[in-house]
Amino acid sequence: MEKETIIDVKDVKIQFDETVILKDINFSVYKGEIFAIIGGSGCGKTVLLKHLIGLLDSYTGNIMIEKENLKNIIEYKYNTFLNKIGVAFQYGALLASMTLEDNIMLPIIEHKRVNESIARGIAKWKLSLVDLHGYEKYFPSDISGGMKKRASIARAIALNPDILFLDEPTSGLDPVTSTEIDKLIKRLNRTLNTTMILITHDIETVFNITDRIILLDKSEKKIIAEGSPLEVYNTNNNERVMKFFERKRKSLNGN
Amino acid sequence: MPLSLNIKEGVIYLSLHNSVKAEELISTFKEIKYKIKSDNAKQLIIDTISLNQYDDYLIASIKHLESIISRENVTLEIIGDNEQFKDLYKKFTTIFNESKTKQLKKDNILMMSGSLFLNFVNNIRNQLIYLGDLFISISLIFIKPNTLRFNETITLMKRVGVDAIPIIGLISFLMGLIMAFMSSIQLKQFGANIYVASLVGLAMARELGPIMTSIIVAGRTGSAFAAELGTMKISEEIDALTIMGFNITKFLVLPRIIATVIVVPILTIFSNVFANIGGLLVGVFILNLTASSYIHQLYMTLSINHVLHGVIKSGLFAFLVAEIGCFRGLSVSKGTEEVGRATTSAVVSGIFLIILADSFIAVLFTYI
Repeated sequence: MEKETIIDVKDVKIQFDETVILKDINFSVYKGEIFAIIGGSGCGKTVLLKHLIGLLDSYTGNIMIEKENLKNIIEYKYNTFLNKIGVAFQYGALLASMTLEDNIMLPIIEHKRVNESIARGIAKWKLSLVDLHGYEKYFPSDISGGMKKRASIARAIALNPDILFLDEPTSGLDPVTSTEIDKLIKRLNRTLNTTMILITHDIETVFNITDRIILLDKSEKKIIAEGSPLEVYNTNNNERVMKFFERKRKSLNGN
Repeated sequence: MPLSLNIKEGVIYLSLHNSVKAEELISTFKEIKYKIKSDNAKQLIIDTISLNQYDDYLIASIKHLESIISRENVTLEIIGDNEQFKDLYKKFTTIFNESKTKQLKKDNILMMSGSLFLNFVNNIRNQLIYLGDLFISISLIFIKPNTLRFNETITLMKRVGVDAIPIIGLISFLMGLIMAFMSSIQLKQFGANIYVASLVGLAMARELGPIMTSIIVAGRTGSAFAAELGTMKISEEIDALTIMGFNITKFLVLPRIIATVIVVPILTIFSNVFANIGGLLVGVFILNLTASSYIHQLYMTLSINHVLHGVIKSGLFAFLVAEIGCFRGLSVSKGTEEVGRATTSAVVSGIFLIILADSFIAVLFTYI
């Protein structure tokens, strides 16, 4: 059975004034998969993400979301599009003045025609999905970094999005918490059947949960490898690709 | 039809077909409530046999419906062999009913007043520590003047002083204008028009000039200091500077206080000049005084002592405004919300301290 494409990026070039950030970007994301955009710091991963969700618009080429051009979506049906996507930002971006429950209820009240009691029930449910049941009345400042990331994922899945974007979900976390977040992403992907797009440079996350990856390079400003993590790791002989996976190789070889 | 509603022998049957959205179910709530009352129903049966697609919003809505009908003593039963649906409903119900919600510790009134008092004492203690640190840093600057960040201080002087001249000029000009105009109505009756110059000149030089200027600086600069240092605190910049061995008071606070204390007296002089220009315009165009007689009267009334009194006072106000602005900024410990609170507090405390110090000086000068 042929896989259904949910995001199709064709000949995209991202440029701010005279500075080219990325060029010749071509890739597709299939429905239900966990897809990762990886690369070193400063290679343009987050910039690419911000273009995919319509926060930035400095590109040429085509970004198709569910077979529709993103430029048209932004112009005519951006609100419908926002219902279909969820974004968990790198630093959580939870509103500090609200409890976790209120943070999650915020998009529900705004976009769904449900009353407060139902929205509260959903918020509680979503928090339980990220193992934060019981922390409804806590403020973001009262919880740890890992919990903030999980709460921001709960907010991102509040509207049952078709596509979930996660910006560096495991950055700055200890290995145990990182593994927990990885498991959570995998579990949500399986149970909710949400397409996940991860921005990361965490090699462990890449190997543990992703189906396919693209590797961006800072100096070439384009995709230098594409495929499943193992495929790229085993078969790609590009020097920069091998360098990116060097630590993984060393840890596998035991030195 | 995604859902259909029937009633038979006191039992309401709600059948959900294919894919039902939560909103569609919610729109039937009124009808269900009406049917319960009109037909005295005792049970609601939700049939999910032909339900193919659903989400957690539908589950939450059914849960909400259950709690509504239970108030009318109506029971809910879900039928159909959709095990996955039943399982999700069961899980949701557990989460919904389980009161595992951890509450952050809430204090009673006694504890709250106690902690308010302790906060107050703590605040004063921190203020004293901060002031002590500040005076040590100031005295160290006198011993080793080259340890002051001169370039930073000059930049800050521009920000606090030069950039504030337009707004201070405009407000002072208008104040002079208003004061002269309002007083002229009264003074005209006694043929004492010329004393408008004395009134505007004296009031601005001794009281209103320093107070107005300092209040504007509290709003412009005190708040900016608090917001700037507060943001630096939450983004761990201050921690980084501390770890690199910088004395925060000397590195961040002192340049701000010195810059403010130097420029505010100058701004006060500007304020006096602009206010007197405003008064002069009223004198010339409304009271028919000549410009030279107005200036002569001003010269006769104002002595250098009056001007110095105001200028020195404004220096003290400037110190208080900058000091409290920096203190509030450095007191921020978590979250952006606290930065906002620190900024507000910097302005309010700044204005309060200005008025308090002014009253103190007024009493002091009366008895000396």
